[in-house]
Amino acid sequence: MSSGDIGLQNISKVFGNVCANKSVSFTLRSGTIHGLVGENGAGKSTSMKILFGMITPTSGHVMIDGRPVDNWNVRKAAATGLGMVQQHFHLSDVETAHDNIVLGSESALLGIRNRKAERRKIETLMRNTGLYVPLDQKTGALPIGQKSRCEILKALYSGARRLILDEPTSVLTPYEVNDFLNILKTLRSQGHSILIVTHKLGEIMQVCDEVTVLRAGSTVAQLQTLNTSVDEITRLMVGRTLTLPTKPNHQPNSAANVLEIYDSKAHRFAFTVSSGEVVGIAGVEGNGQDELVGLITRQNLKFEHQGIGVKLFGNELRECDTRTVRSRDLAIVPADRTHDGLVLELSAAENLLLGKKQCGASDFSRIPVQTLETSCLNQMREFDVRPTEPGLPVGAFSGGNQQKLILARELAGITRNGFILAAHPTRGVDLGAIEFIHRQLLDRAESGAGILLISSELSELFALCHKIYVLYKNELRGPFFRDPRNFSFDSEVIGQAMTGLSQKRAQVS
Amino acid sequence: MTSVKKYQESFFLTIGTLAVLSAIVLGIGDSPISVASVLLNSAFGSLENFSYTLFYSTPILLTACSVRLALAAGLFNIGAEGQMLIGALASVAFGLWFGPTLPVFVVIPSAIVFAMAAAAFWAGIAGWLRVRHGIHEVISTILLNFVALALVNWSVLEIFKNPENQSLETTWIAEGLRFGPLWKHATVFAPLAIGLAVLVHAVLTTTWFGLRVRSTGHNPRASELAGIAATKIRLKSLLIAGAIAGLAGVNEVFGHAYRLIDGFSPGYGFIGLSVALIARGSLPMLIAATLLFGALQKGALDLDLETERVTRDLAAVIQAVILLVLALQTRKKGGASS
Repeated sequence: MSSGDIGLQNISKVFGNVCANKSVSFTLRSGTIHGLVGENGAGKSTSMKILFGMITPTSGHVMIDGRPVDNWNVRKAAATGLGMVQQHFHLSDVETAHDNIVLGSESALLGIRNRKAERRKIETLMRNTGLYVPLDQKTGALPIGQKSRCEILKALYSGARRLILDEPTSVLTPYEVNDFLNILKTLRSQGHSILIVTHKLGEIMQVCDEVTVLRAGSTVAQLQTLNTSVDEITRLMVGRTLTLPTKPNHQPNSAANVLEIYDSKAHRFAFTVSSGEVVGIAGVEGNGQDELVGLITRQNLKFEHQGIGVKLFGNELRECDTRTVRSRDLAIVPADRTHDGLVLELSAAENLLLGKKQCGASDFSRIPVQTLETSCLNQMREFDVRPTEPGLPVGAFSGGNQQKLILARELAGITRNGFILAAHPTRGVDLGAIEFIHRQLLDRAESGAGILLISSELSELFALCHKIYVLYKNELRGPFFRDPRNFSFDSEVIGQAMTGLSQKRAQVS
Repeated sequence: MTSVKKYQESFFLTIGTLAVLSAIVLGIGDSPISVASVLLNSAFGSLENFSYTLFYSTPILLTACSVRLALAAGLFNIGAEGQMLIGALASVAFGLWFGPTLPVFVVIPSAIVFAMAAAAFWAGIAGWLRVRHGIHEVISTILLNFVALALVNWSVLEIFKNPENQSLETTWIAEGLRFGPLWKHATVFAPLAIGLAVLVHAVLTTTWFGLRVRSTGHNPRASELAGIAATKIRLKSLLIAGAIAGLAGVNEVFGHAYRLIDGFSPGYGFIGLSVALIARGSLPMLIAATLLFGALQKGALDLDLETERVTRDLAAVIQAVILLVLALQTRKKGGASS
């Protein structure tokens, strides 16, 4: 370790009975971009917070310039030029970008701010880094890409020379991601060091000089990106070789329509999902995904008021409420699993029962606990939910296992030719679980189910879909099909549609 | 948290509570030990005294069951007091109207059903306001309590006033309709209340309806999306809760006073609310907390007579301190809900 390097050495951190970090070591070398990767619960966030002084480690050292430091805390971290950009923005939406950037490091003479000097400093920063934002706009009105620029400017403004970025690209469109990675490269060329925590390995390979892989709370490797590959990093992260599906291997039965969305006014918002077909909806979140899901689940009728309607298995849903739709042959994997999918306080077994048709049985009859416990246990085994304890409250399971529970419940409730509405089915889920969930969905499609897959991960859509539409500002673009030569989608065209660059969709009658 | 730690914490909290209460009593100028012995003796000192404690515990347990059921559905039924008053008013009305003409075996069950239905209707107003107009039940039930109180007040004065008596009470119901005490001062509703507590608990924990209620209570959005009619479940729960609170009114009229005395309740509905919050879904805790608060009601009466300076108001102070300590404990655990 040389001057300017920072890092962790043999860090362990125990919370109560849970060991978040066992032995984490890595070095962020001066003037480099360093990737920190690992599955959920591998200890990424904890390590990051320890480096930034937010958490005191149980044992081990924070290393600055090659020497261990004592009593490391946020103040000291800031004083050594460390800046952190959290995954969720910490901007005040009602203030201007200018004020947000200055907030926390404002200097004032006798309580009077020198806005001109502030502005000069910010403008210099923007020129040097290429991070341009409209400074006089309220941040609440800015698009997400601009907000993340604001956050970085804020860190730089406070004098940070070393940045810790937590999942910085998770909310950006492919176009914005490229832009963002270029900015990171610029920052590196100016001597900044950057620690980037992410699960997108493609981005790691693109910008990082080094990558540290964590698994189960320990560093398993610190590698030069030049000498490694996505496959190797994946294997190190998961501990085994993954075989993620790359495309569906069957043709849909286009004669049998499962879902039909029609637009009685403008004829723009219309598509069908046929039996065996996986139709993807790409797009940055907040562009109408919730409204589309709500249209089918009858919980958000904004689209219906605009003249858009749904037919499920040929039946009009206009008169239906959520409950009657639920009695159809339909599985719903909601986008927000903890708010819409599960009741965290109830046990896994009880959650598996929620969607059951028996729920419509006599109100005051007893739940046959014994038989259900066995069937629940089988379901948990089949879907590889761990730990296999039906009595455990769902809140105690990890995100990936919660998602598998929803999938287990929902897929058990439909027949082979049913309809699956899956919104962000693998968000915040481990690679191992992603592999499992993708296989389950493809298996169902192959045996005849129609699937509408809403996702902001293009890689997910590319791996599963027959055709893809893009939602942009409540409008539908596409469809986009696989290139018959290499069976892949054109990510550039789809990426452009996601940012609104492509032509509006031609009318479909 | 390990169980040893948990018990340790409970132990220290109990000691702390007692210390605070002792300090209060010392501050007033009495001996904590003599006050405690008065309270204990008054509540449990003899079978006679204990039966009084049961008498006070009965309406508390009924209203506690009411609050517990609504709470499981995610509704905060502060209106148990008002629902109980309406139940009492309906009982006495039915008894006075039909008691003289209809046979007893018809009047009693119909009066009970009528009282429960009236109380359920009262709760249903709050339920309807909640599901139709989004008015929070905490607000509406508090306000409905005042309306119920006023309604009882007016009815006692203007409709059912006992002409032979100066005090604010109705005419007595026919002798054949009086249940009479079951054992010393305890009414027939005492075992009934316990049975009901067990039944409510069993329904909530073992039936489909119970699962739906709990699911709705914890997460109405997910329940709705899973195909549960969350709104209906909430409304149903509140109606049943109201009916149960109404039974506390039946107990007062048919089991004890045989008339409706204006201001008979020392706030049973609110004490039941505290009990349900303390029990947090546990049946043994529900019964235990009911007995504790029932004992305090009984003990308070003798505090006026047998201690130097402390008055019956100390019982309310004790209740308040217990609730505060429990709130503190809940907060430390991260505010887990019922």
